[in-house]
Amino acid sequence: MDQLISANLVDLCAVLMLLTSVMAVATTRMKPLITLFSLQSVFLAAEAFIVAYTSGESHIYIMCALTLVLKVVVMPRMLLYIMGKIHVDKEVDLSIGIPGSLLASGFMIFVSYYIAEPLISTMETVERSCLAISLSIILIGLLMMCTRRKAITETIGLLMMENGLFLGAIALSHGMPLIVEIAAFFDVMVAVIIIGIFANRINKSFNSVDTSFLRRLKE
Amino acid sequence: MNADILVLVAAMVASSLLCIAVRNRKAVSTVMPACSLLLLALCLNLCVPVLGGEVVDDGVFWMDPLSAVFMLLVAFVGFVASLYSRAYIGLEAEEGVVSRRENGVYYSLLIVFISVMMLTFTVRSMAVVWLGIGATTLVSTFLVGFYSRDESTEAAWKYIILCSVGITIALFGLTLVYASTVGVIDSDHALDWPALMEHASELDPNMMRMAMVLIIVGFGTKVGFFPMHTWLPDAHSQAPSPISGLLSAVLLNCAMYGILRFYGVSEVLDPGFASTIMLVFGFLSLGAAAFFIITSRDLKRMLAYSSIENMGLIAIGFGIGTPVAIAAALLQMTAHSVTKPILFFSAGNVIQSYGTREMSRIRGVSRSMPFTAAALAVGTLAIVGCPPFSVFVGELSLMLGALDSGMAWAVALTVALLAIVFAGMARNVFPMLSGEPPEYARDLRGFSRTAPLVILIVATLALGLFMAESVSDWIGNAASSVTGVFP
Repeated sequence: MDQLISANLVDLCAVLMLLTSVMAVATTRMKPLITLFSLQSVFLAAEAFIVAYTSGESHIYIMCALTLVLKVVVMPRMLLYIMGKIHVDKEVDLSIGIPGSLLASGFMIFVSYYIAEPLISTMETVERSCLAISLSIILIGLLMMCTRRKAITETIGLLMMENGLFLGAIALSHGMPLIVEIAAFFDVMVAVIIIGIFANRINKSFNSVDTSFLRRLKE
Repeated sequence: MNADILVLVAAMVASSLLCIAVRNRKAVSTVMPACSLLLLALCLNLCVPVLGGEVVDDGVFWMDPLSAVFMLLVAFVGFVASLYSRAYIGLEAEEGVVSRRENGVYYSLLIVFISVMMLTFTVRSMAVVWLGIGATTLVSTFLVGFYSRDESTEAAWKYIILCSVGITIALFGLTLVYASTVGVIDSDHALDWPALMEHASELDPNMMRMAMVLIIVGFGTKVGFFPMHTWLPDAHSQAPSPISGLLSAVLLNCAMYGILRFYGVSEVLDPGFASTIMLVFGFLSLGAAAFFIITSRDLKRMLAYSSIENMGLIAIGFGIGTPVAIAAALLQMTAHSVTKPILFFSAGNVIQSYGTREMSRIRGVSRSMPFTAAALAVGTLAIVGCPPFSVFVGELSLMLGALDSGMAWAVALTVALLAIVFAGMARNVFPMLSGEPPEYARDLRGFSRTAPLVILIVATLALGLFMAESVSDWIGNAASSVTGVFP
């Protein structure tokens, strides 16, 4: 019985993460977008906690704590700070509209389930939908990066991709050896710092972090 | 054996700290190349026995001939690039383009960049290899965006965003590899390459297939495979020329190394799967690059596309997948690594003298700067595969490898595309050499401007003309360690 409840909770967290991803695609304002990202990270931390509790692998607790500290608290604050500092426009700049983006993310989810089908048929129930969902979150993150024009939205897309990746890592492998998790978080952290610096510099050069101004380098 | 690795790592740390500590502009530009020469010497000391077939096996460290080939190339190109930096960045510092602080930052980042690339090849766990490849991106982003111009910032932005996406996708692939080892390999060693290779045939094949697709696409973004290559021409054209040479000659190899290790495992488990993907990406990259080389107007962008072309050729070699073809691909990689910096460095000389990268505005190089013109001509002939240079030997053995496995169509297609590349490069480069130079064009001389070019030309000639028996043995050993089958 306990097993069943935890399996359902794992699934619930994964689905909630996917839901926040889809909502992020439908968001037109910057601040709610950042809130959605930290909400997604809360669900990721919850997922990590449940898996750590049921599998008894204590190193996943560390992953859970790191997620809470870095992705729920530090990174959203940092993004808000950058936004405030460079007076970025409050609107998300879209290159395809909301209905189009939602349709595309629906398609991504479909594709993920299609790809994951041959893999999950041999797996235990707990992991079943997590692989497909993590793939969906990664693809939707990629979609966001491709269709949003601001440097900050590109960054959030990348961070959401990472969330999808960690969901996969926790559910599929019950957390890879700890070194990888810490390394990955370290990597993300440094990437965000660099991206912050560049967002600053792009702002200096173009008076806006709209990356559609980044179209000088051509053939 | 392990003492050598520890000494090398200690030397890396010490020279990085030294380069950060030295404040004087002139001093650091001499200290840093000296440090990288030291690293090259230590690396030779470490790698030569490994290339002969001795495997370093000690805790986190693990090296076989394949890692040694990659590492030696990084150390060698790293040294010539640092020496050339002394001339290139030195001139910009004198002209006031680069401040004293930026000068110090440049050399510190350069030595850290070279060290990180070398370390990537020394470790046992593929997770740490992944981390190394990720770290090279972070360090080199600052080198790509070194100038505070708008275009450099844009190039660096594209570079870090696209490569981060690639690295993320590759890590997802690694997760799947890990998942496929559950129940086969003890989880603490699941991503250790020797363990993966040993148990390759017992892994979950479905999981491994999906992992391979993700790994080739993810790391392939950083190798510069078409259509994920879009960051590459921007980064190569906007970075300072010594960095462009380093990126093209060895950074792309680092990501290729990541693919190769898993390629070996996948080929044991599922022959023909990974190699088909490589073959497709190889021809796509070769074809697209041939088209862009003909149409490019910017000198360094053209050279960047030539790197994509060469990475395509190397991928085709692994795509064919026979031992002969794999050895040929490694030979081609070595040849590309020692030849491409000739072009980037001589292009750097031309660009500093003419103040433009636009090829139509550069004329009369052979009169204004004879040595650079000669190097540019030699480099162009070498990279398009004229005998007696090393790329010719690499391409020839690649064709032989393809014919050997009955893939005549691949040979025909490759030859046709290479002919287009030849025509494009010749059409773009040779007009720059002739004609009347503008008055402002001046010759740039100096030991650290000439010596790197001479060293590289001698190296590519030596590899092409007298392929020493030991060198071909080394390449053969490295090829055997890709597939894990030793003859």
